Amino acid sequence: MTQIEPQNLLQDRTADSPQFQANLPERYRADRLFQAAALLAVLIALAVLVMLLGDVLITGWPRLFTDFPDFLTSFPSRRAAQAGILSPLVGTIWLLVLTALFAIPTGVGAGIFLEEFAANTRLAQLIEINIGNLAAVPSIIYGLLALQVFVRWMEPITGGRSVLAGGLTLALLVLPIIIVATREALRAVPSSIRQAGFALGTTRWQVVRDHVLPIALPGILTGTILALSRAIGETAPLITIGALTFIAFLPPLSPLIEGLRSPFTVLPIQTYNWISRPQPEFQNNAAAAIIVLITVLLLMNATAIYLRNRTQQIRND
Amino acid sequence: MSLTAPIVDTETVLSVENLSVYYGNFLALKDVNLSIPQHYVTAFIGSSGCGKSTLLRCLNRMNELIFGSRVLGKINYRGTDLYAPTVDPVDVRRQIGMVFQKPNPFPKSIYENIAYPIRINGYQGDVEELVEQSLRDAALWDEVKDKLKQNALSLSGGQQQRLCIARALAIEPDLLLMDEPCSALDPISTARIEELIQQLSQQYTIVIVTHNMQQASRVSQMTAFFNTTSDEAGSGHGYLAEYGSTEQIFSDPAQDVTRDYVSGRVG
Ligand SMILES: Nc1ncnc2c1ncn2[C@@H]1O[C@H](COP(=O)(O)OP(=O)(O)OP(=O)(O)O)[C@@H](O)[C@H]1O
Ligand SMILES: [Mg+2]
Repeated sequence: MTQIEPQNLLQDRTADSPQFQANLPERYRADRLFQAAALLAVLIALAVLVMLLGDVLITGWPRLFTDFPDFLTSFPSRRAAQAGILSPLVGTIWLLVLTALFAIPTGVGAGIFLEEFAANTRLAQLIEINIGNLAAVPSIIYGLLALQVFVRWMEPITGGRSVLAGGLTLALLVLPIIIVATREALRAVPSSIRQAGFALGTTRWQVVRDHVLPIALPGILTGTILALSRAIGETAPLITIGALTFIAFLPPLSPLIEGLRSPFTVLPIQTYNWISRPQPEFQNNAAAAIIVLITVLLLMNATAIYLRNRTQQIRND
Repeated sequence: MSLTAPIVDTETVLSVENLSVYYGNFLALKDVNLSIPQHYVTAFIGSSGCGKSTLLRCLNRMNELIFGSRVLGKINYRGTDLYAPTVDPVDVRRQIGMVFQKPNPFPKSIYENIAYPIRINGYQGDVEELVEQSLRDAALWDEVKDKLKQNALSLSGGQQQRLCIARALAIEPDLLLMDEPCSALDPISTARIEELIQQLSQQYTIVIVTHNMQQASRVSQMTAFFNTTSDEAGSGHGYLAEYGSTEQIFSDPAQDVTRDYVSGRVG
């Protein structure tokens, strides 16, 4: 920070107007104070992150890379040295795909409807408030709901504590987030674009499809991917609906329905299971699993950023 | 209050009868009566907030996109009641085009901006040809013919506004509404657009809102002057104070408020 030497440029003029007390030195001091406080906040956040990551990396790295990629391709085991994360990793991918499949069309569709089509009635306002509230409901509540609905009532379809039930649960969980993100992205599209469309004899759907959605798409994509990253880190609702902690098989891909109805586990649950064991070898396994989970998350966020930049570039061409 | 009846010997495109517009409970415009003659440029003038844009938006039913707005009275468009339940607003806007105060091209290529309304309205002929024709009509072709694939937002403000005019012209509207189309432009772009409006008036019927008295007197044949009542509560409503040929409004207005306004002595 360069120290600015206060210098009164308009000495005569300011002297004439005693009502104005510019007091620049005092204001610059406040500036510097605030900057320092903000910098400190950033440093604290970074330090915590570095410590966490460092700890995990140091503990997990050796396990992850002994006989690579054994850790990724082995099933969990009672013996720590042979235990791997194949089934939780595959389970996480299954859930991710299913959640995306259920939540994206519904959430984006609902967002478009509420923002672009629904009249601004009392009912619409009520729905809006409730969606906002839903986004803040603790995830375990969704687990309780899902346990009753997806696992018990819908058992003939979902097969009980299955991948399908898990996907539906997480879809429910991220649905409000996707709706809110979609609406935010749509709201950011200037209304002059809509007016331009309407003034040319375009129907509402054409305006939305051809002009509003392309502009809102990067925002919707980013919001959606961030919502999905939240989904794959979730543990509580999946434990509630009874995801297992020890799975030594993979859901079959064909017939698909059988895969959908198989029991499953996911990375956070496996990690939790290992962490709660006393043996240090399992602690190492847990750390290695966390590295994998974080890598998946980073990849997803990178995709979100990539997609956002790319769509922005297309628009600027 | 006596309105000078416009002496019009051409066909009437649009006639407004007892039109009042509310935004919620707020009366923005009261009891407007006027008719827009074919192949004329009609200018709407008047101080800020007297309801010129409001009236303009009513003429192609853009006003109903505003939440809480209500339109009372009647607008007759070539013999049909514009607000009849059987009339489709999408069809109305296809016939009655609009150019906005701020240029609002789609963030797509220059070509696509013009081709879009052409395609969406089911044009059967050669789209490329019509795009070129529309750009020529809007006096923009020479400046953009080598960069049709470029994003429209890369154009200057004046070029963007002419692009928006070209876009509106592309679907051959019957009537063109322009809401202060030059207010964001420099004098040279303004002159070009004024010239353009004069050319277009050979073929099109145009209604233009403007704050620029010279512009109104230069480009229009008919002028409507709007004013705001001021009641004790301070919440006046807009009304049509005087309507007549531009020449008469500027040289021999029937009302003092009109005289004050057009000569720059407002208030
Ligand atoms: N969307 C709206 N919601 C509520 N009130 C509005 C809306 N648009 C306009 N009004 C009100 O209606 C009145 C007329 O507005 P309008 O925009 O038609 O004026 P104008 O004559 O076009 O003014 P200007 O010359 O500044 O553009 C104003 O008092 C304005 O506050
Ligand atoms: Mg206006």
